[in-house]
Amino acid sequence: MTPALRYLLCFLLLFPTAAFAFPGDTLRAGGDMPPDTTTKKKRAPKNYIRPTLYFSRYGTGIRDMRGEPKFLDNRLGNYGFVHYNLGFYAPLFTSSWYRKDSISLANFHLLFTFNTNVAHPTFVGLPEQHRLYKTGFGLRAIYNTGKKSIWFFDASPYAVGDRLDRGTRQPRYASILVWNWTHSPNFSFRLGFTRTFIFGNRLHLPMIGIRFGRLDDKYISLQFPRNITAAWVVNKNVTLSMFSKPFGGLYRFSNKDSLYPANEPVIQFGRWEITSGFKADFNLGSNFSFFVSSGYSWNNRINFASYKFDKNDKFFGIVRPFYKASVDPGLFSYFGMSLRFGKSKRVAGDYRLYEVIDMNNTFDPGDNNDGPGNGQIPAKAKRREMERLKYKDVSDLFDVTDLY
Amino acid sequence: MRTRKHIVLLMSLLLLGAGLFAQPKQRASERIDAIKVAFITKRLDLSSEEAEKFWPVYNDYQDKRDALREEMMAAKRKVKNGDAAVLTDADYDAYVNAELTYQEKDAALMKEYVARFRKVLSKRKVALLLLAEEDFKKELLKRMSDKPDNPGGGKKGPKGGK
Repeated sequence: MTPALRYLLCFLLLFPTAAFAFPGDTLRAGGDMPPDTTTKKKRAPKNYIRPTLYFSRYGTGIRDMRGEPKFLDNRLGNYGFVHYNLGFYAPLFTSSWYRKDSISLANFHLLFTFNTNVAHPTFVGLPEQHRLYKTGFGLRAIYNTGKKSIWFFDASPYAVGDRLDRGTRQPRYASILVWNWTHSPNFSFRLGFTRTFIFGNRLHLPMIGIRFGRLDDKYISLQFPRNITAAWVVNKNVTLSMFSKPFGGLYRFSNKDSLYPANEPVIQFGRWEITSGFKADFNLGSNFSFFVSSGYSWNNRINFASYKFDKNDKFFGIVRPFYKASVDPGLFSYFGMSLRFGKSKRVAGDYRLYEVIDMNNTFDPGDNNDGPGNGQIPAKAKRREMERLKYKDVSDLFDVTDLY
Repeated sequence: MRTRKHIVLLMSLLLLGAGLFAQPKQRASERIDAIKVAFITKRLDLSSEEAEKFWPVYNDYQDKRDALREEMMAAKRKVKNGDAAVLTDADYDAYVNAELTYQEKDAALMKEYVARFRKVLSKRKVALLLLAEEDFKKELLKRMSDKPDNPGGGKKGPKGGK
């Protein structure tokens, strides 16, 4: 783990402490706060989507690898993989308006996105391990027509490179355009088109999705090529899910090990695997959530490609590898957390906005297939929850004198 | 190297634990909103089509009411919680004017949104909505009476003390 990553991890863990520990903390007996005499108006929220910072770590152990040609196979040795992913999105502009019928509330969301991902592939046979990065800023636009349709567009330009060699940096671009049709809270359908690298190559794929069940309760969602998920929102704090999704990327890899024999300083490293497992999301307050997940990583593929080798074999920009290998399946560990900032406009009960939030998280910034989860969607209130409310739950809500 | 990793991991877990325990109570308003959705949906017996059109408009109405109320609350907070020795007649006057303006604007806003609700819901359901909002407030007040140090409240005390 590099010092920068250590500091980043410490920052991420310290931040919630620093951000949330102090308001309301007091040494005064009874915990009474001084009366609020401020005449400054509290700003009304402008956006429906809250700015969110998220972090995750995914890793597998060292496993056997078999590939062609054999001489490279012997040089590379066994393989393991870990990645750290940090992402952020924040609304830049939100607008909502009534359509001509004066009851359909349409809204438009423009968001800024940032993502940085550090991949640590381990090849036991190499003398020095490579640290591959991809970092980028992007923009996304979501248009909720106020009827059944939602349009989503994300543009994620980013740079990829290998920390072993600064000359390996190269710009890349991933994108997705999706049309969503929400028939009811229990059913939605998505169609779109994506330029993605999550299958370890530069691919242009259709996007097809279908969901049965409510996003704030229980649902099954099939979103090709992103994920298959069955989720159960147990209560306001816990969501359990089973999932299967591809993880992968196409990275720039320094050729200082001369993996490609010709005089070429940089080669392409592509990898992808399918992860199937269980995930538990915990919402601890409205600002912070974390998840833990584990399962089986299978269909592990890696490849190396060279532009020289690929020169006469391009079709839609797909790179043709000079080395291909499959890696034994194995267990993975996966955990992460997200921090949400500020306040948002009300979304409770508005399942089209739930769909907007879900799309924003399913199609995560940076084309990593590793979003922050749907912690902003409020869990469906259970029948007896009203009866279970206690004084402490409502005392902070508003001033008693306003309940006339 | 491995030991260093373990130290970092341990430190991270400790910090994470500290972060978690330092969390404030979940923002009550978000949870109350979700409960309110269940409460009103049940009272009005909203169909899927009605709910689809109603909740975005209702949420928008509530957001606008909050913004309106906040304009008045700034003046109110000063008068209610401020030092009486420091407050001037102008401060009191500002609050009364802010309250009057708020009542006027709130009534106009309600009129505007009731017209929208009438396009989405039947006349009966619009009336039930107004009643349900009041009942929801009463339910919340009932929870307020559960305050442990409230002599008339809590489970041991008589119900409906308010």
